[in-house]
Amino acid sequence: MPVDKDNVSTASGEASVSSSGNQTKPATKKKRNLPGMPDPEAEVIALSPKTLLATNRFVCEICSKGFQRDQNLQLHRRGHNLPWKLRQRSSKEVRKRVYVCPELTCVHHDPSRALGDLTGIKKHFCRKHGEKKWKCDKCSKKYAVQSDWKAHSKVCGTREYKCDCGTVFSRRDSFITHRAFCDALAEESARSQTVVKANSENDSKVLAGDSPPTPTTSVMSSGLQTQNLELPENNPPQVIEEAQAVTALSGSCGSNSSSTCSTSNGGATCNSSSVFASLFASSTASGTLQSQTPAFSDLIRAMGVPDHPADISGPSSSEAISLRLSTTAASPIFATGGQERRQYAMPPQLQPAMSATALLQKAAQMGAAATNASLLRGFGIVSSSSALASSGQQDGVQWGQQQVESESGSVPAGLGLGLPCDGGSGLKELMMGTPSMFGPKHTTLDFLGLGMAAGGTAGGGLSALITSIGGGLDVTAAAAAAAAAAAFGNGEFSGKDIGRSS
Amino acid sequence: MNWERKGIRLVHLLKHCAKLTESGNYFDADIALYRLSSLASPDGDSLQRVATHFSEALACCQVAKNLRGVPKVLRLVKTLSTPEQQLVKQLFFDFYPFLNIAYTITNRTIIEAMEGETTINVLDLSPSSGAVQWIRLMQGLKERFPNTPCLKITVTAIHEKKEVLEQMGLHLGVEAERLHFHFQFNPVVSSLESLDPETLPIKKGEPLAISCVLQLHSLLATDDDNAKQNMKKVNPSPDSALSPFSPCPSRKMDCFLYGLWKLQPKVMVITEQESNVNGSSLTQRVDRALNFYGALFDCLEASISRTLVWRTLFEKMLLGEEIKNIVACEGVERKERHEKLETWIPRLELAGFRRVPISSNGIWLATRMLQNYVPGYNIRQENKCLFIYWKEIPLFSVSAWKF
Repeated sequence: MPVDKDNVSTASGEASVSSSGNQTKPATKKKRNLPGMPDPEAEVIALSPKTLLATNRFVCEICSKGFQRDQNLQLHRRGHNLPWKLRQRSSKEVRKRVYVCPELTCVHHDPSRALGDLTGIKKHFCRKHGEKKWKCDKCSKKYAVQSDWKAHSKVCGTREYKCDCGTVFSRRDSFITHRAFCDALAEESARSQTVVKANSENDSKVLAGDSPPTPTTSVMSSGLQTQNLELPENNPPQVIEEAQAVTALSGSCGSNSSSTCSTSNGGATCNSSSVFASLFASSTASGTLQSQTPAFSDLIRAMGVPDHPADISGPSSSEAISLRLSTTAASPIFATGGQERRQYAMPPQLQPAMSATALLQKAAQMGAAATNASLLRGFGIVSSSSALASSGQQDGVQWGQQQVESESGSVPAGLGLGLPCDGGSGLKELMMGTPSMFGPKHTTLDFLGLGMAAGGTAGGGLSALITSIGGGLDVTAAAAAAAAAAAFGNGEFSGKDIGRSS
Repeated sequence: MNWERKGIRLVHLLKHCAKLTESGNYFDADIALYRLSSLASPDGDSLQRVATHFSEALACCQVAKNLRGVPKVLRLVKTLSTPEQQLVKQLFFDFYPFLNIAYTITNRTIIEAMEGETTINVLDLSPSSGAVQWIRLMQGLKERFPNTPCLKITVTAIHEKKEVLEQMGLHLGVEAERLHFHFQFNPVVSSLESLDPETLPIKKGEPLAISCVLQLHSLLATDDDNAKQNMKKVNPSPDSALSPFSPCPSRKMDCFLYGLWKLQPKVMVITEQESNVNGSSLTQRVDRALNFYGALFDCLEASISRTLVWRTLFEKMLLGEEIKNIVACEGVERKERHEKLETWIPRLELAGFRRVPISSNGIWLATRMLQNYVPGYNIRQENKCLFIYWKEIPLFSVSAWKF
């Protein structure tokens, strides 16, 4: 890029010929210094904000027309048909110029951290210290530099990641994090399961009266009739699976009625059981019946995902809740007999909660293997070290705030040695300062990006801490974990763009 | 459908966390725990509750693997005082039918075995529920043998805390007097591990009944590292302390059982949890314990209101503590080493005991008793032993033995 001679602190309109428009690229490619680490021989230019932001810095001396670019000015000057003598610009050797940010608090205000490109420093100044005047109309994202805004609006809405659950993401990392925990995965497999189960459920009639057309009332009435706790002595009741199911419903009222009738429990009358029964009868949804029965007679295979999930909701459960006898509230528990036990006998929750047993078995069927990777996938955690390398590289961009850019390449390598070589001060603080290793709140929070002060080093420090204490901790695992931690921190909040604009 | 997905996700996450913890992948396990903390809840449904306690246990496990002082202090905080222990044991008795059934069957079996005797000795290795069991036994004896004059009953009870034994002796004495029995109470303040059966004040030659309810497995607690080393020499079996063919599965247990056998009991009734959480692999333990305690939490969910404070207390102070012991403790500290009956049988037979059938009267009584509880509990007799089920999941086993 040709050097702009004009941009010395006094904006002079010196029209020096730099033959920029006609200049061909030099044979050797221009050497580029690392950003933020300028050539020590370069000339440092400090511009005032006004000068920096001024447009039309190049002014034609003939007609005083202002141009934003020197090239444009030269092109314009050609049109003036200048005599040959004045056409050429003085071609003195120019030194490389670097620019400092006029903002005092900025790190690039220091000449040793100056930026080498004028356009770059202008953009930096606007981005960091300027107000965001440009807004994307699609997604309401704001930008201070017009070119940024233009670039974004080209991309906005074009590249989208869509999760199975319907949520749309523009960023890959937030998409991946979401997908790891998205319930859609489980639902899909659950759906495929229920397709199978629905067939088997129809076949194996676990309950008497399982089929939907059975009116609720008839089951209830038969249930109430069969509930007869005073069983004849010579007929020891065998535990019957089917009867159990019927008593599942009536048993609850049965036990209720027995408890309320037989225990002298301050006023809870036998009427309550009939009210309860009538509630059951009146509850319209046969789905309620069905939803309850799976919870009860839910045997290992017949995984009753209720056919009418919509029916299992507020109305019936709230009725049951209101009916819930207050006997359980403050009942004394110390008793040698079995009486108080009955006070605990509760009408079962009418919420559609599946039993823990059923969920455990279902989860075992679904197999952990498929979901193991996805459980923590969003954090870039894969147990093999080769994946570490790839994820480390890939996450390198997201890892760094801008000040960590230079270290992003070195941190994984540093961790590979067991201790991060860079950022040593942060590490030492962690080693000495933190009393307990697990869950020092600030570092844990840092993992999650709540205080992104030293996200990278915090992770590195903690892993080194654990390495020193835990002994046999695999270093690659620690590195993977630290990478994961930082990526996790970024991934979790990437939507809010903490990583980008600090 | 949402809760089902969440539930399955929760289960997978728990097992995954266990795997990570076992493999030493602490960061990932920590992340899993973080996620678990938002999915699990001590006030939610049964799976959420059991997941809360398992998550806590896994967190303790993780801490215990790296630090020494922290887990000790944490355990110190959670130590229950004697009244608290009694409270939760009482709650266990109230909430579940298991103890009730165990006592009924034990008593019936003892009564039948003691037919015609005038002096009865009882050795109680697990007197945690107070005097309830033996009061019932005395009542049962009176009922069964109303004409036997001056039945003499001696109860020897082993417990670590003196005050528990004192209370028990008091209650038993009152009841015995009411029923006109000759009664003698021998309290022995000792833990089971340090007990030498030969030193017990039991008269040889008199009929003896032994009862041990959910306590015997604590003797399986060994210093696992040593046991593993010894076993590797002979037979690399995947599960520790399970194959009866290994030379020293549990020395303590074998000695104790042999000591009991030498007392020549007429009948011994053992009630134990029917689950195998005595493995050395953490993931295996978590897996099996999840099934077992999931069922226990389900029983509570089906019978007791979620808002009842005693229920949460009980879950926290008893079930949660057991879970923590299974998951987070190692070596001698891990007392909750449940094993299935199929592994108890060879052990007891090795010590010399022979199996006797359970009292069918007792089974019938127990079945009737179950009607007072929420439906879902079953009793089944298999292989001359009794199993108590919750919805097809065997939870407890009762077996009877004799000298």
